[in-house]
Amino acid sequence: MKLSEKINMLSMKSTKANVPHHKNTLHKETVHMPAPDYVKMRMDQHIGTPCVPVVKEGDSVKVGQVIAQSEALVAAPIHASVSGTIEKIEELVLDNGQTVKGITIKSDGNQMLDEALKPPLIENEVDFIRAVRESGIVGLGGASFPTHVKLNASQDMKSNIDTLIINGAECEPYITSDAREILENPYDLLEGIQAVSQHLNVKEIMIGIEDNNQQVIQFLSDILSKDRETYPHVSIKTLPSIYPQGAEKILIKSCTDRVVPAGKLPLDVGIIVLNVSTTASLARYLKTGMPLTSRRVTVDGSAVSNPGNVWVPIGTMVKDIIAFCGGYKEEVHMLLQGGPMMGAAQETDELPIIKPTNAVLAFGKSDMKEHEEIACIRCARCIDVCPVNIMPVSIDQNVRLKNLDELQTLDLDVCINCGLCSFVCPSNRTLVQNIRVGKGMLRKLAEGGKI
Amino acid sequence: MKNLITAAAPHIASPFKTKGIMLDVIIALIPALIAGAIIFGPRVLLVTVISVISCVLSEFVFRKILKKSTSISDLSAVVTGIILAFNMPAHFPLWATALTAVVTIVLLKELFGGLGFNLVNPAMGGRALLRIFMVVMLGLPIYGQLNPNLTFDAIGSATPMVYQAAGAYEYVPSYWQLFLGLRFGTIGETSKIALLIGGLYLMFKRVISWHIPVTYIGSVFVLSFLLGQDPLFGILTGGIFLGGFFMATDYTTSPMTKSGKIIFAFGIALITVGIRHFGVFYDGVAFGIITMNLLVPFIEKLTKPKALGVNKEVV
Repeated sequence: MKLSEKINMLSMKSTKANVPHHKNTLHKETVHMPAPDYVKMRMDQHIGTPCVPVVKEGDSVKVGQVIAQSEALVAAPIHASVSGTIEKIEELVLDNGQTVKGITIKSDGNQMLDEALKPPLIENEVDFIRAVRESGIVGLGGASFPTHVKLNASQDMKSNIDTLIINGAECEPYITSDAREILENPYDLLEGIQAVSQHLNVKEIMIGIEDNNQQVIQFLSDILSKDRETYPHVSIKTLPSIYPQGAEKILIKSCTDRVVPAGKLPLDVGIIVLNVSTTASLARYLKTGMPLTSRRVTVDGSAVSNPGNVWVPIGTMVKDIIAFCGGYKEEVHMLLQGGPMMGAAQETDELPIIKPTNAVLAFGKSDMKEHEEIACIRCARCIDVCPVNIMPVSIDQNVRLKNLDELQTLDLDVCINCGLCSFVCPSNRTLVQNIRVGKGMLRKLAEGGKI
Repeated sequence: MKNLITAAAPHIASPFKTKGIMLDVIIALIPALIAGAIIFGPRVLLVTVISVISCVLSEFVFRKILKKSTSISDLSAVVTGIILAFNMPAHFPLWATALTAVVTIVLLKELFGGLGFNLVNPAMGGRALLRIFMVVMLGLPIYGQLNPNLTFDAIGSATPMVYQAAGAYEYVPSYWQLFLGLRFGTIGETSKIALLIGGLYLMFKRVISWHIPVTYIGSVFVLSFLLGQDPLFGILTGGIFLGGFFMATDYTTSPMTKSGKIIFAFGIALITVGIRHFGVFYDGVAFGIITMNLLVPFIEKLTKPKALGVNKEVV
């Protein structure tokens, strides 16, 4: 921990949550990981309807070939990330105990590209949306919402949309994959912005970056001032490095001062938000026709030998990624996909990464937090830090008491699951976890079920 | 891989823990304890230790009897014990000290469910019980004798406020004496400078926010002035600082919302000054805090923060 961080924690800022940054891998250039022996492609790489395999066991596939599809609107096709043979199609058990179909591809090590891949021909808006869908791109910042749905939903309200916000806040500790995207492929990002802003016909584009990434801000603003004529509407918005700056509604408020009404979308206030890596991937697809088959993953944490950023085929097993980074240097006690504030703890490293996996983090014993819960002392820190101004402690109490009348008055649906309330709780209470339980109770109540 | 935890996010936590908060409160109380020991003599320490031990032991035993988890390691009983002692005179009988402490913990804290569930600040409730039962019924003294080794102008045997009420202004201590705490009173309430140091420490460590102490002390000042009293004398006498920094700010018995804290503190000030000015009893601070403690749920309902984007129309 830096001295400044220590002083902050000890003194004036202690009611601010002070989520640490730990951007240790910011200066580590991305290393390409060779194709692993096999990959497992989960059918739920996105929010929405899972895909259905369109290949069968024994088929041979090439990189970029569609292996799973869905007719549903909220879905995106899944492409082979390695060339080889379909070894198995089976049910995978996930970290939450649920199962989902997965396709195992045994790699031939050649990474042969599908010959049919070519840049999409785009003559009108319908072509554009279809191309975005065929790219397989979903929100790569962790949200995994199919990008074509976001851009298409805007069609009806197009005249309303005046601003495109590119989310480069990357507020979760440790993760630097978006920052590396900007530093390594700035023109992919800018071309992606151009394509999307042309489609949406927006004249105001902001790239939101947290102020602890000065190097990234400087680098990008140099490029923008050099190419002012090419990208006249793009500006950088420097954001305070305060978690959860990258949460969509918080980002929108910081960038434009607009408030998205509860239960509404950014679209309703004339805004579209896209993540940095999502936008850059889209540019690469439009240029080359290569769909989303690999991505940058930040590998970090006290138990990893060589932390860094790795370019990985989607579907690669976590254990293979860790092995590529020198393996574990101590006994692992916590293994995460995503950041420590909102990511998912894995029961095993024999699970594959999916499209929205921006980080794989492994921690040793010294990084484990206390779990023992004691009585709430009503210190109100959870209320003070809540970015959406709800009262986590009151919700938690009423969830435990199953007091549904009271719960309905506490604005649970506004909660963005950022986890700050649980982070600051001095009594280790499971606040955000119980808010989620409460949301479930209210949903059940609305459907007429018994609690 | 068998040790992997699979808890729900978030997976990291702030290093600020309940025990640390209580420890900070204990640290913040030390200047006033030292001041008390200087002003009233070393017996102050004995009374405080007996009070703390009685609080901790009674909490431990009570929870054991009810087969509840042991909670003494959260240090909240230690805090209650010290603050309770601060409300006693230095030469309070030790049996009465212990009895008050046991009644406070059992009746006002544990019977309501323990830490976080009590309606009334235990130490404040304990002070009120002590005043009513021990002093009025048993005839025990309210205020302590000054340390005989301490040289300063002889004052009779009662509180400065009583003197002022009687019009005996020549015996009233100076502002400076009041600020230092060189007057009769209970162990921890007299030295304003010591309480101020502790209070500022708690604000610096962000254990408490400014809302309650500033609103409370400020309102007592203004209200005293409006009622034609000496406002500086008003805030430097009685338990205004002890109450404002250490008792009204008790998390469990004060509102959690910022605006609620301001309403709460103003209410205490109103009752404090009201009792002092119009009442027959002069323990305005204690009854102000206890009354407002009971109104906390309503104040919180009134001041519920507006959630982001709720009741907002699409533009």
